[in-house]
Amino acid sequence: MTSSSVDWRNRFGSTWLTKVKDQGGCGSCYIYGSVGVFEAMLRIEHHVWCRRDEDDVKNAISLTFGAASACGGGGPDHVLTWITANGVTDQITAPSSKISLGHPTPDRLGRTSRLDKDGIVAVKKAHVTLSGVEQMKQWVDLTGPITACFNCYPDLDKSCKDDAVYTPPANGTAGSDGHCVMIVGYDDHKKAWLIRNSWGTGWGTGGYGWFAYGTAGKNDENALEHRVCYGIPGGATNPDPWSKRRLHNGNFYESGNGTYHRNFEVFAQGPGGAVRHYVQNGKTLEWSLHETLPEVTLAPDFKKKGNDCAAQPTVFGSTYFRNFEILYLTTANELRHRLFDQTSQTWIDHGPLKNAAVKPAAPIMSAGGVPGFIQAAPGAPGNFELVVKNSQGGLDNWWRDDANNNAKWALKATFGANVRLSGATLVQRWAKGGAPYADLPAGLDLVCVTGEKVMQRFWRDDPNKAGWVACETFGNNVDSPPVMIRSQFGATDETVPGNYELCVAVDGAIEHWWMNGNPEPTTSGSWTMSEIFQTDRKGRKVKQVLGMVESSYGFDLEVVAELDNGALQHFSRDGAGWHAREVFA
Amino acid sequence: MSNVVMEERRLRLGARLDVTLQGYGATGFRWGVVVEKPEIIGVARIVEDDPEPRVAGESADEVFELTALTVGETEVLFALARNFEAAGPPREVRGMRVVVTEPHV
Repeated sequence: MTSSSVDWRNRFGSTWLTKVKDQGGCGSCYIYGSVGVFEAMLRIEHHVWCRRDEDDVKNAISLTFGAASACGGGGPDHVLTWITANGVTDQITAPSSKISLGHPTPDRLGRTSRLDKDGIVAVKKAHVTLSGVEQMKQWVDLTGPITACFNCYPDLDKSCKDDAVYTPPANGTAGSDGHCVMIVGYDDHKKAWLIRNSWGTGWGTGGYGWFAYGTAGKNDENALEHRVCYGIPGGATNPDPWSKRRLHNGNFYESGNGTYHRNFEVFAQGPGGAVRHYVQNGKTLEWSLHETLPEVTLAPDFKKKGNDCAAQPTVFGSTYFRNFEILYLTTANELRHRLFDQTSQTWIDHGPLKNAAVKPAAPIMSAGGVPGFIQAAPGAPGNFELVVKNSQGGLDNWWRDDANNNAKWALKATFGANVRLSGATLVQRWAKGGAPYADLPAGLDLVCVTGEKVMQRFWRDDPNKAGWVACETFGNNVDSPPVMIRSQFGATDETVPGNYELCVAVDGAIEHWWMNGNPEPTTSGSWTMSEIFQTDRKGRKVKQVLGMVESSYGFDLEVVAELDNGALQHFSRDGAGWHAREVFA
Repeated sequence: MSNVVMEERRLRLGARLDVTLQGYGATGFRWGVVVEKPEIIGVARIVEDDPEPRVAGESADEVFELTALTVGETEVLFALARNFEAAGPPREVRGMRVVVTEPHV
């Protein structure tokens, strides 16, 4: 039994479709329809905006078949098969860093959302064929939008204004063009499909329109149901780490690994300075110890092997082949960078970070707290940025210039004073002035704990400048490092920044704070504490929040915290509030 | 339309000329036609019967039949635009100067 109406523009209280696009004068509607369905399924399955670049597919087809080929028409089956083999990159607006198959940047693989059949149990392909009203409606209702190709007549041009239903001409193809759109809903009362065109917002009702169901014996040849439609099973989608880079922080990361591409990965300090890697399987939802990282060579002579992890690591998935990049404070107060190379499936130790600006290169030191460590725009690959407390009670902002591939760390700025603790709170800001896409270069935000045990936000307004500005303070009696992300709450489309979400342990419980991300706060923001929650383990208290993720599970916020006995516990927030979950270590 | 290259054609009174333009209908763009002096040239859009449906993204060519109605000279402009969008410059313009002569000239 299917619903009587479906509208993916607004369903279950959220929006699921990227903004309406315009294919211009190129006959690439079949690419726009296919990529649009892919974006929608990434959003539905993983709750993240993943704006893709149709030009990536178009360029590839043109390179393969000739310059004008992609504009001459084609089929969604061809496009979806190509995406399964190659993925689709995000949009990079700076011409000099344009990513395409013809002009790949070193991090193309890490900025590519994938479509694969690994997670699909019921079908053998990463996309399926659909036909007939009932089968199409069932898929649109229970899974998501689909592509639809049809004979397109000139009278469609001015149709669908003010939600009017368009009925195609009777049988015959004289004077028709071939066109492809997305079906993003239907309404049995209207007896029509809701379509999204790729002719800009000037067409129909803001780019959308209602297209009448076909009726047996009449209109069938020109009905949307006449040709084969294509859908993508949600489990086949695998978003790229770049699109998810603001949705996690600390030692906690939702990777694209696992059957449903939603495994949780946690890196934690283990006995004897080892680093342990725990995984929550995205299919079974069970936590387990996945591995203990290999020993590293230790100073002073780098001949002896051992472990030197002295605090909880900070991790992210980088655009370099989706590698895991981890950074932690060592027993020598240095910062060690290690990465899991997804290509070779091995751990690589980059050793303690060194300041390349001095001769000989000196180790970068930390004086407490947890490092903020992220990959951020500008550049492709995006630079690595690091903020950590220094020995003078301030904060040091180090960066690694990846766009120019020099891979050397340099001090960008020293700022702040009377800092008690740094935390895994470094997040890239949204581009200034409401820039259209989250990929544009933007500054940074950070929250630390001051000597007065309150939290304070700092921001850096421009990616190429070093000026950090002190902003608002909030909270009280804070004596542990906070963790901060930018969530999808408030991100009504892919051009709107979501809220900041922050969790911190205070007096044995966890405080959850949030701040509206739109309009973007600059020199002052207004934080709200939404809830205080605690462990369900009798007699235990929360010592420190280690990591935070907004997950693929219904926009849920997920937290990993260390209890006062050293155990690690998982907490999550759904529509009913925060819940204490499994103790897994 | 001073920057439009004008192709010159001569027609005898009563003659007809088919003008075929590459179609972009699958992108929402269509050719429109404006005749400076409609008493000299009449225009009709010809819809050709296609045996097979087109693949998605493929557009049918657009064909206009020009008929010489009276002796004289006129400009015929073809403009490619989306008729559902607010008025703006067309994507492409093609021009034709048509001279209609007596049948015996």
